[in-house]
Amino acid sequence: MRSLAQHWAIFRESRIGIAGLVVIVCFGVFGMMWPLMFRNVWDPNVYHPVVGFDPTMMHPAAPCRGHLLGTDPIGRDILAQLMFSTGREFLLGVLSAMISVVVGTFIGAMAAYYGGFTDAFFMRLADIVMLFPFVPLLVVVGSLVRLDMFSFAIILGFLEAFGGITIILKAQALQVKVRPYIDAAKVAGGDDLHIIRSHIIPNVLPLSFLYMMFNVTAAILSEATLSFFGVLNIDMSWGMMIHTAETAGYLFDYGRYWWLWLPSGLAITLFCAAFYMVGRGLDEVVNPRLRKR
Amino acid sequence: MRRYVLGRVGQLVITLFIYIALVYFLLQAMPGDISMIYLQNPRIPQAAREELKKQLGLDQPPIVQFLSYIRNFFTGNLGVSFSQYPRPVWDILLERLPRTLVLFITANALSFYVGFMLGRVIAWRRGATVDHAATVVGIAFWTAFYPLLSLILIWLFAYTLKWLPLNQFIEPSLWVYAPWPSNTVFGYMVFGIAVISIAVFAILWSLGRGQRKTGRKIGLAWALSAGVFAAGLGVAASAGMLVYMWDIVRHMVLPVVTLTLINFAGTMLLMRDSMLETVEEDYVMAARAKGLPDAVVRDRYAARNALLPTVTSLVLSLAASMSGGLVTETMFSWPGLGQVLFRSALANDYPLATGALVFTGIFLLIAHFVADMLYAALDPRISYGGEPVAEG
Amino acid sequence: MKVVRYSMTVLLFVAVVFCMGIIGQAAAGGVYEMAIFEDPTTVNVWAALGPDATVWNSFVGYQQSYIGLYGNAAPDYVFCPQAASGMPSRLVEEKMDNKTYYTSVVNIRKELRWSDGKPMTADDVVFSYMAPLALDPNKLGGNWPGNIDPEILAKVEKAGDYSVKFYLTELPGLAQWQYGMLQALILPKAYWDPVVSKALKAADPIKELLAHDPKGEPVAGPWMMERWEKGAFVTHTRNPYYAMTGDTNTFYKNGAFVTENKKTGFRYILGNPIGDIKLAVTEGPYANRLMFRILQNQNAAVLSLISGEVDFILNSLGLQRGFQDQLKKAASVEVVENNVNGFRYMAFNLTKYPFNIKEFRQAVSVLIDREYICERVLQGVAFPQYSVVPPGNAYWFNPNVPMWGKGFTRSQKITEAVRLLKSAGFSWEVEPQVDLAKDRVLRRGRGLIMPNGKKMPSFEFNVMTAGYDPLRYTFGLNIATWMQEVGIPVEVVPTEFNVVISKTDERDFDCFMLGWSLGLYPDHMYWFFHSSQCPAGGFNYEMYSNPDFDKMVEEFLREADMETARRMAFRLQEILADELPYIVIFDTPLIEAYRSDRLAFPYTKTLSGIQYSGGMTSTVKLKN
Repeated sequence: MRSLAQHWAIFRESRIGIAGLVVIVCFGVFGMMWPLMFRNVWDPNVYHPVVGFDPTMMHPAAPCRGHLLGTDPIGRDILAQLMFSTGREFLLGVLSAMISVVVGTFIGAMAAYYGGFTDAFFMRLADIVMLFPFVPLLVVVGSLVRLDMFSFAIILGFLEAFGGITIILKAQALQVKVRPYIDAAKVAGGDDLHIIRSHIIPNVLPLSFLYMMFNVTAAILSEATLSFFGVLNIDMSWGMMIHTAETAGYLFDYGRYWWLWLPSGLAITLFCAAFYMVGRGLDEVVNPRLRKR
Repeated sequence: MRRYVLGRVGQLVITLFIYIALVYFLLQAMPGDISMIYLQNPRIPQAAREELKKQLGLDQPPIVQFLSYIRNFFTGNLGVSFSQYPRPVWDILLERLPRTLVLFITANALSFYVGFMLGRVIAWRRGATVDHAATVVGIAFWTAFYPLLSLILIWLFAYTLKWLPLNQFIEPSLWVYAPWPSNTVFGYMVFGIAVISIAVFAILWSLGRGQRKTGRKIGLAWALSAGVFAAGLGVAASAGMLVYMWDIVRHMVLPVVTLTLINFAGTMLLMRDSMLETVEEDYVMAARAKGLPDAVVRDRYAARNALLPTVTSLVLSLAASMSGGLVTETMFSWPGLGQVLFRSALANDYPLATGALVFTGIFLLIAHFVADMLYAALDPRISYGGEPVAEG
Repeated sequence: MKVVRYSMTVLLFVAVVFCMGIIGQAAAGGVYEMAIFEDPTTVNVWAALGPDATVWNSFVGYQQSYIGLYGNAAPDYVFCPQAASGMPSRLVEEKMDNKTYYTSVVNIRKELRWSDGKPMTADDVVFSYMAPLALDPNKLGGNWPGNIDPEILAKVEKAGDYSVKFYLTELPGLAQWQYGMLQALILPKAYWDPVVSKALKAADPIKELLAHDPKGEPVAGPWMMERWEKGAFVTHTRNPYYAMTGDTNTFYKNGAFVTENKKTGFRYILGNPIGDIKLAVTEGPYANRLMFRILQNQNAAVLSLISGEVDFILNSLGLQRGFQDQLKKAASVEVVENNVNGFRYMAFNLTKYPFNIKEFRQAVSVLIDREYICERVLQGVAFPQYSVVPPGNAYWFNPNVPMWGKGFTRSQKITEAVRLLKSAGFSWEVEPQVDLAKDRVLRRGRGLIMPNGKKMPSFEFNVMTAGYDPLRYTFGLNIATWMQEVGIPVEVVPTEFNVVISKTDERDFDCFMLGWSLGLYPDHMYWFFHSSQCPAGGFNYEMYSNPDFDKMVEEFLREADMETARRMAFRLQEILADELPYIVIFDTPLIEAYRSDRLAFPYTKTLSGIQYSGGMTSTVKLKN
């Protein structure tokens, strides 16, 4: 086991990982500006991301002094929407990824350690979950329960937890399980839960963390896609911003109304790419063969 | 090994059954049913709504409906669609299948090829500018917002530059006079491509058996392959089908390119990682030490053995694309299975939605099985590579 | 070397792509190209009028290929003969087998032909009514029970080669007779009779009949279906025997209407045709072929329109606002805007307290700033509405209904709402205060106390989710904000469309916002507000019950005289606008666009737009 500092030293070697991290930090700062701006600078009636409206101009208005990124077809400030959504995208991405990784790690470790029925059960469950076409399934679930950002994150997290991630983490845990010190711990009389917790999980954790990054990307992209098709009950997000422009018919003459789709489209891509790149960086930490010598 | 396979097959059947039950009851739990469309017109009396429910069997308890569904399923009957009553679900799925197959197999094959080639190169030149550049560009496309990207490409290539057709999968003004329905042509295309690839594969295999490849042999192989391809085209032309095939190909370019752009990075990064592991194997070192040319070591030794995880991922993604890509199909007006699934779910058409989900589920289940068998038989390695879910 | 190889590959690719732009484009003349957004689900007219009644099925199906005895002549939607040669005879009482029937005779134009050249006779008309009756219109579902009402229609008999006699069990109103039964489509007996008889013998007659795939079915309308390439396009060719070609509909300024065909000598006159002529439309068709291209999204359709691939976008929802000013700038594209026959409204559950207090609803109606929504937020692409009959339906619309809070400022609205609430006995823990001079809210209301002395509990307001429609969601939020300002404890709950529908159907709601699109004849006032529709399954979602209103609306439904019916409709609208079971808010106009270098429409101003007449395929002229 390497220490955190050693991990960090390896990660720092990866230029792609660092670039991703820088972008994420920038988004974090951008998102944290929202409450400050809303409370101190912006008039809530005009700059509210959902019900705001600027009566002084025609909408959608091109970028101008009052609205640095213009307004959307129903007169809401794009910059405010972008800032407001950033925090929520963080919440969505990180929450769903956390759930998937925590649950997936635990199940993977259990399946590997106990084998037999537990293993077969969770592996077949993973098969079933992976059978569902993603988008239509969420359309179905979306009409069942009203999916807001929070419940969407939870459902997404569990779907991923029981799906592919379990299989991968189980494989990793299996490699750990055959190591001699596990047997030693067993002989020494450690109970199963203790062994899983203190020997298997720590060894799987770096890989879990890597998949967490990939899952953030997946969560954000799914949210955007589903929002684009209008099957989520989310009042504002980057995907919703594009959906609003699309349903109002402003999304086909690309040059003219660029501020309606470019900021949000760019934000989605940048944000997802950043997490993915951090994942790639972590990959080199986890997987020694990928490392430069 | 045999016991493992048999056990797996048994699990497969049970999994399938559970999957069908899950899908069925999930859809049943959706609020409302298709008879709700009658609520949008006050002139339709309530009696008509009751009759419709009776006609569709919705007045029976869910468990009875489910049992009859299962019974029908095992006799190969997926029921009739509600929203296209009384068209059989099978009929609708089979109508969409050829279109979906042709588009997504082509796109998968191309993005796999591009990803494989690039992955090979950047793994070999790890840390170089080309590695970083390809990785960043690949990730940018991989995480791009797909609907937006496709709209931009349509706007650029079809609308502004007018190089390619705007949308749809065939040009109506041409097909009005076509002697065949488009599905026949799609069918022949699938058949033709299969025959040609088998022939080409056979040629390459029979000529490549010797130890060394000479220039003449390679030339012969190319010439023969080209001959087979030309013969295929000739047959199509003499049947008068070539112009229609060409029209379909024309319409495929944009969606295939878009899908490739979105997807190639997955294979590329997987290939890169996989190859970084093989380059350190002894036989690669040995080949290098022998003084073989760089390209030969790369292509024949390192890349060939790095192929396994990427091929398994190809099997899985091929099966996944059976459900079609809702985004692709919507953006490019290419009505395939994904559209059926989406629209039937929105329209409360349970039998059609269930049928489509089960149909694609079977493909995926088989693919997982095949992938498992490949792994178990060849190499129990674990693949690393996230799978962002731009679409399912 | 490598660079050369790669650049060769790229060059080859570019060359191939470039070739693709040139080769493979075919041209054809006389084709009216339209874009539609979804495949039809059937071409079987029984299914298309029945359970599969989608708008796309009607666009590419019966709207182009079938005619009825009577129809509504656009653009004014004058009730007029189609296959009939004049108005039906007056309904007379007749006793037969101890039963009383009301009978009427309808004569048919003699020159009508099916597309196989055979004449359309009374046999076909009788079959078109008797076959659905034999199958049970309720079982056929969809539009069938509305068109052929088994409660009223006893039978239709042949009274001559070109004349039929209707036997009704009771006197029908306008909705059942003129706007119902008489507009049912006429089906070719020669083709369908064997199919229907076979179906009637089957175990499941309806399924058997609906599953029939009509091949070579003769039609009487201007177009017959030629080819349906699923997922790609549908084409129609002209019916060579279409007999109404050359019919000229003339609309006079004084409301008179004349149909005349110089070639066949057919003539029908309504009113007194003197004075200025408003419009004359001569029936074609002028195109040789219809082509419906199936595009899956509106961006694709608009791009195709601008690039000239399609001439018109056929969509019942019209185009979104964003396309409008961009299309206006495009060369050779004409944008037209028309009123629609419908409205968006909110309604309370009137069985719950205090929603059943009239003044409460009036106060809410005052608070809703329709003009702000329409003029400011929608920037003029919506119009405020106060009556349950839209102004676009000019004949039936009563322009003098009370308009709550129209033209008031924010503070005036709050003052008026407070006055109304107080008059009904409401009070506040903290009463709202406004500054009328500066039009500012000084203090928001809090703790609304109901007339029974209890504090009003908070209630749910179901609106569409932002994903379903960002506009309507935002309006819901606006309305809630205005209500909260005077202390009405409303809570917005964004809800999936299907869920709202089932909640309203099961009467499980506090208040909601939805929309209707309506028929020409305003019998919806019966369906939405008559107390017989209150129980679950009926259309009186809000459960409005008013015996006086019930009686009046029943009379209205029975009334067969247009003028009297109109007077009654005006009175009904006044009652509804005062009692407010529905708080009607606004509607958006229908925006459509077509290629003006390709098409010449005889008119474009008409209720619900060009799409309502199925793209006006038989009267549009092609320019090249």
